[in-house]
Amino acid sequence: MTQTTQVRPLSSEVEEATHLLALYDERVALAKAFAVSDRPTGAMAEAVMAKGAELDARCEAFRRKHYPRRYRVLAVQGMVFSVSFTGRTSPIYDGQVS
Amino acid sequence: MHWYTPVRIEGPLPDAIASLAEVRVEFKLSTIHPTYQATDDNGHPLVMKDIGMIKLYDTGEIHALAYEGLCGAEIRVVLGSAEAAMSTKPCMKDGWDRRRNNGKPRWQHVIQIPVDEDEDKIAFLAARDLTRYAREKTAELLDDLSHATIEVSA
Repeated sequence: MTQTTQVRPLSSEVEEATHLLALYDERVALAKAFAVSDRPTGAMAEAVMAKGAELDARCEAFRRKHYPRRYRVLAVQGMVFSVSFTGRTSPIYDGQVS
Repeated sequence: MHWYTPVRIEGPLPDAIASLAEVRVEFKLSTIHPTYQATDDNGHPLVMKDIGMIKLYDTGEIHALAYEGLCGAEIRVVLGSAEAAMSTKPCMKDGWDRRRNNGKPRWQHVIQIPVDEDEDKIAFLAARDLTRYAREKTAELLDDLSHATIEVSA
């Protein structure tokens, strides 16, 4: 069993990363509610899309502020990690550990 | 575990809605993680190791393959990358590789994370030894070439 390299972000980064993960959880909850709904509506689909767009925008703002040399920042599966231009992944914040 | 359920995206659903965290992990790859030396954003030496692979088929199926022996955080990195791949158009610029063999055209991408020497000593040493072996092999080949003679027959 190996361990992921733990990155120790700043306190401001932790707060913003926690907010990103909260947005991700909200988006997953909306998507699951949409998927299991007997009568899905356009408003539900738009809510999922809007939440996803907000999450993407927040991730991009987070990347530009803290990791401008990285290609992308993703907040998924309870973890925030960055991706380089060549596709290498670096975990930033693990919401289930910290 | 040797099972997985490929995700099929059908109908007019947008890509973002298809992200339902239904990607399954198939523990099929070897337990030996390929490791190698690289450099970080600041040019410092860094050891990376492969933890899995994502295959994004043209039919809409997404396969996430993870190495055995991963911790929970590493598995979530693989799953998260697969989930992000649902709503992202793959291209070679982003590190994706286009494959067309076996009649199943697909994009595939290897997931890599950095390795700390204190946390994963084996992977760190493997990358160092592999780099040393590559250098010695290259030097050996160059030595052989230096003594080579070119015979030209008229």
